Amino acid sequence: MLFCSQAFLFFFAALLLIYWLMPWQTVRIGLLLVASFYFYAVWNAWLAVLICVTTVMDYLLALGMDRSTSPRRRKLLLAASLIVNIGVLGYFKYANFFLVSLDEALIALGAPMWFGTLSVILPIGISFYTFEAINYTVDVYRSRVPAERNLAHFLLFILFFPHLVAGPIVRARDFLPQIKRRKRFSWPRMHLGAQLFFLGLIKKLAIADRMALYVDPVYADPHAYSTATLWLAAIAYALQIYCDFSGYTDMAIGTAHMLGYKLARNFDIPYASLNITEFWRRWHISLSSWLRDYLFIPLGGSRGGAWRTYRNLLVTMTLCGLWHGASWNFVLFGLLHGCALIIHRMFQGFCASRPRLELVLQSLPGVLLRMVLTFGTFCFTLVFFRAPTLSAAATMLRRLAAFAALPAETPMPNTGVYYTIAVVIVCHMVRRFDLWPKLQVRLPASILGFSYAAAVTLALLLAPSGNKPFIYFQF
Amino acid sequence: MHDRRRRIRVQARPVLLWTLIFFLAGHLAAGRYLHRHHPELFDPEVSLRLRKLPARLAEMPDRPLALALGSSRIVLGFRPASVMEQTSASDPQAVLFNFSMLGTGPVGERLVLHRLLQKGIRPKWLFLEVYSPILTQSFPFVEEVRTFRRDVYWSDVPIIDCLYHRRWEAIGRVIAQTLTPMLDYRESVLEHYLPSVIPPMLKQLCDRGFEKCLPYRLDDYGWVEYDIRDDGSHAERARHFTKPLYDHFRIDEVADRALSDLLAECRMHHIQVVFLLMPDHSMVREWYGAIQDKFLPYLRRLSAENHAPIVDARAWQPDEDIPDCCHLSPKGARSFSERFGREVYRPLLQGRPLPQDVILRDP
Repeated sequence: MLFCSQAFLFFFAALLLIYWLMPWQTVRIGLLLVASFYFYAVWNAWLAVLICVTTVMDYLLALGMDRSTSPRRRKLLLAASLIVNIGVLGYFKYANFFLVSLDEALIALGAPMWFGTLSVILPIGISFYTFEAINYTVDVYRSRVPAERNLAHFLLFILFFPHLVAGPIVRARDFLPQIKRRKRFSWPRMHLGAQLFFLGLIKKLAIADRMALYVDPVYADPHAYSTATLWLAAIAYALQIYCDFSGYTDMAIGTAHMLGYKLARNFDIPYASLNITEFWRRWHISLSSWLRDYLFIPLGGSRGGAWRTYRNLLVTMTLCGLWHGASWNFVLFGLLHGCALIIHRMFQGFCASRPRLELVLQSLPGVLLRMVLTFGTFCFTLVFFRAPTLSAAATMLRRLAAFAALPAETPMPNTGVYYTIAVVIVCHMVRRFDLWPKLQVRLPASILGFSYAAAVTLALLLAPSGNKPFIYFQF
Repeated sequence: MHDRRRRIRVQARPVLLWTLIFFLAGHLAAGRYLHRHHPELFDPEVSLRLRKLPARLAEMPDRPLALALGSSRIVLGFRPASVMEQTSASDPQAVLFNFSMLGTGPVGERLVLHRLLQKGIRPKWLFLEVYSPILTQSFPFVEEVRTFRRDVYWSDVPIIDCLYHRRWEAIGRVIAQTLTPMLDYRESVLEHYLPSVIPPMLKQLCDRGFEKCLPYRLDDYGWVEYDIRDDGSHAERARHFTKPLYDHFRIDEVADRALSDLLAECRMHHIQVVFLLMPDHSMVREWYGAIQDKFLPYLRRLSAENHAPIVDARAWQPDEDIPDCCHLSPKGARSFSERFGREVYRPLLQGRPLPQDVILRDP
């Protein structure tokens, strides 16, 4: 069930009404659990049961850890939880990738051996809820959060439908206390939630899905288009993926707000970043902070010298790439980002001893140049993210560098992409200078209501026919 | 800061209410405007005909109406102008109009007649095509699916409620189309007002579509001049999709009910029905052997119960007039309509019995 589908709107409207009419907190939690299970089961009931089973197992293991005083036993229970969570993720998401890669490697070595592939479907959102479960059990092991005693509360932490399928990856210490808190209906919160939901809807339907109309044909056949069109498609994909994912996140945060829950922010104007390190602090924040806390720092983080830091960055970012999908394209995407982060660290060290260079970089042209360079780097790595195979990515890159003027045909008028770029820049500026909250309180309610209605109508009108799933659902 | 928070708190409820009001009112108003001034954006097949039929009736107000209803075979194959040309000045006259639509069988015919009667348009004669594959309501002739692509109205709900399997979905569609008609037909609306936002490839696809050519191919009496190119694959496609429906023929319960309801309504409004078996390709005529004991006795029973003759035109046209083994070419449509005019329409207007050789013979 997609957030931008009619089915979801009916489902959510009914849920919201019943939820706030219920005076009892326990019943509300039960209702949210049933709704969340239904939300997932509409797609696949068996996989919804699978999530419940692994969640109950994590609940029991964490309780065991909490009750145990023996460090060895605690470690064993943590290992069991990690093995099951990563095992399920590995089986569903990576098994076929490793089997195929092994086959290809053996063929390359001249010893072909066909292992076959498993007939499994990838559960939607498995990477997201697995990471949530892992952060919970690790935090319980580190005694940073107490184990949750109430099974319903713990199930809701994992199954809560706004974040279930594509994040943001919530932390147990942020979410579990919210479940316990008694909720009161609040119009300002409903307003905020609706505002975020509308914003997400506009991003998804009016920008991301329309950009896909430009991007998809170009990636399907790069030879049919000129180099200029290919460059524009690369930029359009950067807009598409940002508006698709941040649009989903806005809708998730908005729906959660309307139900009285607060989810973590996942994006903070990433395309205004001045370097790639800052970019990862603004892009998919819940994933990058998870990777920092549960992978980069346990690996040693920035301690132990430059080369160890570089190694840790490379490992973290490669695994970040692999988290996105089971293919060499994603591995390379992560690896490239790891390299970019290392280069940035080296450059920072280089600039530290050169105050004049630092001054130039802080000037307006310097800032703009850094912004464009960071965005350009991301666009370049996205070629591997978007292309279906490594060879398709190579073809795309070759064509990007070929300077072929013909054919001049474009999948859509270029003006559509130019307008979208302008809109995204304006929105980034509005956010950067915090203009919206200032403007919002000055506008009369009727004007605000009119602008919301007009914006949503425009988004719905511009949406291409057919519901296009969110890109991050596949992860 | 405190003032800002207070304002946000006070403003929240009215903002949401205004949003809802503006959204619904805006869509209702825009939908009403578009339905009134550009109905062709929603359902060109019906709306264009609904514009032409009253105009023809207004031109000749004292003449009764004869209506042809059926599928695309009638849309392309039944040319009222050629039919009417066969009458002489001394004959009683009528207005003959083709109100057939793509993929329409008993359910669609029932809907169209219901809508026309609701608008006060009552035909005196009804030429009703009976196309056996549609009676099975099997793929690719499931009428319910086709109707979902068209505009449906509140007045259709009683019919939908009786005849549709997915009635709640259809009623949901009626509600959605009433509340937010612009969204359901956003591509037509965008193409009309903002054609530049439609991707060129999608536009090309739409331009090639049948409905796109309707406004300039639909003549004043509801016939569409449309030449189906013979690409050599039609016979194979007919064998693949249509023949199994003859081999495993079974009259669908909904189709049967729709046809019975339609005939009951005709009896109630004193509309004389003439069943019509359209010209078939010789290959298709051979397939009738498989349904000889199911389809024709069924049709004969309906004919007897409703005093409605069955015009059997299956063998009227040579194969070259049916290039895709299903639809008549414009040339074929003209010659078929002329013969229909001479041998069926004219005697009917004169109140004479139909010649024996055009009526379905007993086995």
